[in-house]
Amino acid sequence: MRRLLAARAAQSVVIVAVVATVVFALIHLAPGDPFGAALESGKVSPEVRAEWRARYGLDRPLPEQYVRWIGSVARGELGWSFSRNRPVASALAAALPNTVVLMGTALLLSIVLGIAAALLQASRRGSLLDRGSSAVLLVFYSMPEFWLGLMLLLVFAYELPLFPVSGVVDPVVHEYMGAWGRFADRVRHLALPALTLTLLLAAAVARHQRAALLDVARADFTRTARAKGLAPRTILVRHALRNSLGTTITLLGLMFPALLGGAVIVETVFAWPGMGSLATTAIAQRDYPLVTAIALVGAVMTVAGSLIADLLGALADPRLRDA
Amino acid sequence: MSVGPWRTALRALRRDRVALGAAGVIVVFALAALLAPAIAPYSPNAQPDIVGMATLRPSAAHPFGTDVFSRDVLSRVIYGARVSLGVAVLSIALSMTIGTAYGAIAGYAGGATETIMMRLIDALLAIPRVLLLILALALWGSVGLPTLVLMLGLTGWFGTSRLVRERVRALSRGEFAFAARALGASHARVLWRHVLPNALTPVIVAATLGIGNVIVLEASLSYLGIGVRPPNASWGNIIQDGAEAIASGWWIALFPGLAILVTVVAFNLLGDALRDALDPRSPHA
Repeated sequence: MRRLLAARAAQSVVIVAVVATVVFALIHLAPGDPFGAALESGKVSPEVRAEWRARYGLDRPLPEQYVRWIGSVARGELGWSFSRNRPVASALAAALPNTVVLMGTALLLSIVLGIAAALLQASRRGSLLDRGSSAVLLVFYSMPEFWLGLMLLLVFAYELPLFPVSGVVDPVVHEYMGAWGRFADRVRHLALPALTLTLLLAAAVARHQRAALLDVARADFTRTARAKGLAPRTILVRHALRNSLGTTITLLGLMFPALLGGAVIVETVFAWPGMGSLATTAIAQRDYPLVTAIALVGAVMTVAGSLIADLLGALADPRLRDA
Repeated sequence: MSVGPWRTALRALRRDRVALGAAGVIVVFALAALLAPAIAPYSPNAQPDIVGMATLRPSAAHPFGTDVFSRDVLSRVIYGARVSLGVAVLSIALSMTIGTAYGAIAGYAGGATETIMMRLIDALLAIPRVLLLILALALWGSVGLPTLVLMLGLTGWFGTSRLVRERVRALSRGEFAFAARALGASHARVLWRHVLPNALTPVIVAATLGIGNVIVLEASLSYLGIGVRPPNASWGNIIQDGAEAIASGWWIALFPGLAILVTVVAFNLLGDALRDALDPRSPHA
């Protein structure tokens, strides 16, 4: 267990470094710089622009910029976001909790729902319920998240105005609510974006978990348990579920990058002020320090997510410990 | 070259009604894409009357309604199939080629080369692909379709290389590879003629499932306004047009989304069926 942890931690550092380098290379290979738009408007003379570039160090040779940037990131200095006119760290601190709440809610709900659905299917393998729910799950599994979000928005916010259209809280009345009212307001705003992500993720979890349960159902120890006369339900929960949970947790770790990507897109549909919304405005305004920081935070979240998944997987299934 | 697994797979597929139905749906969409000029009722970019005919409900004249620019949504969805399917197929072809080559080299080489090559893949797989694409596409500004295909292809081969490496690694240490070497075949020949053909079955499954995946990915990017650019219709950017008018014209976003859904479900069903048919452990094979 300790060796696994050490190996995976070392690997995580390498991954973050690779991501940082790729992002740096992409940004500096791309045409244009942060002051391109100001130059096109004709209000800024080339001399002033050159001075701006010098002030932000953009006139230095690329390797030097790279080394300086790595150095300051390592010291925890993420720089100044010129599009938001505030430190990058404070822009991130405002957005990150919203994304974590959205992803965390979706992750928890989809694990519970996905595993429950798979257990139900596996206990009645081949029945109408099994086949029907498999079809429904495949449809959700195949759906683009932004389109599902739009359709939920259409039905539950426009046609039946049950939920708000966008944001995390009501912009007008939230401040005047009591503690309980504020909480309810947040839940109402979270409902549709979290539901969108949950439905898609739960479908993936259930599909995988069902296959894993049926795989275990063919194993020798399951046959032994059946021969001992254990109830099918006991076998399913005590033997099959326990033996297949590890791979599902590992799968969630592998899916973490896709989950983060999905959250980013869902955020834009519901104008949820998290990392996704921050990223789209930062990129549109060529706010390099903010863009690089977001990519780095994304990489750290991904790495942390898969690390946690691997450790939980190893806890749930000792066979995964010497991987 | 062995045709064994292929024949078994085709025979199994022919008996599988779900797989046949899925293949049928894919053929219909592919034909619609190819024959778009002949079957689309209107030109996809014609704006006959931007005031009087904008955002019309679905009717006999416009089965999918019209959008805010009075364009016929059905015609745009049919033309969108060309872009969406074309981009997906080409980028998958690219990523499967790169992934197979990379995985085959790593798996055949073995040793330190393999370790380094596969550690790099671990790192690349940890990058959220959507974020990477958003970053690259947004920084480069507006890109043409060839560049979009290139970017989707170049970011989609990491998983495939893992699958291929695993198979090639097992096969190239097998007895028939050893026998071929003993007969004097070069490494390149053993890899190309003996190992690779037997390692390709997981690639076929991955490609089929991957097409569905890329269709969704391209749609997401086009929805964000950085994938396929207007006035070119792609399913994703028609949905974007619909998102802006969601309160006044639900049909603009609904129909292209259904087109994506039906296509992706068909590719996923076919991929699942192929996996069952090609997997030697599977009871159906």
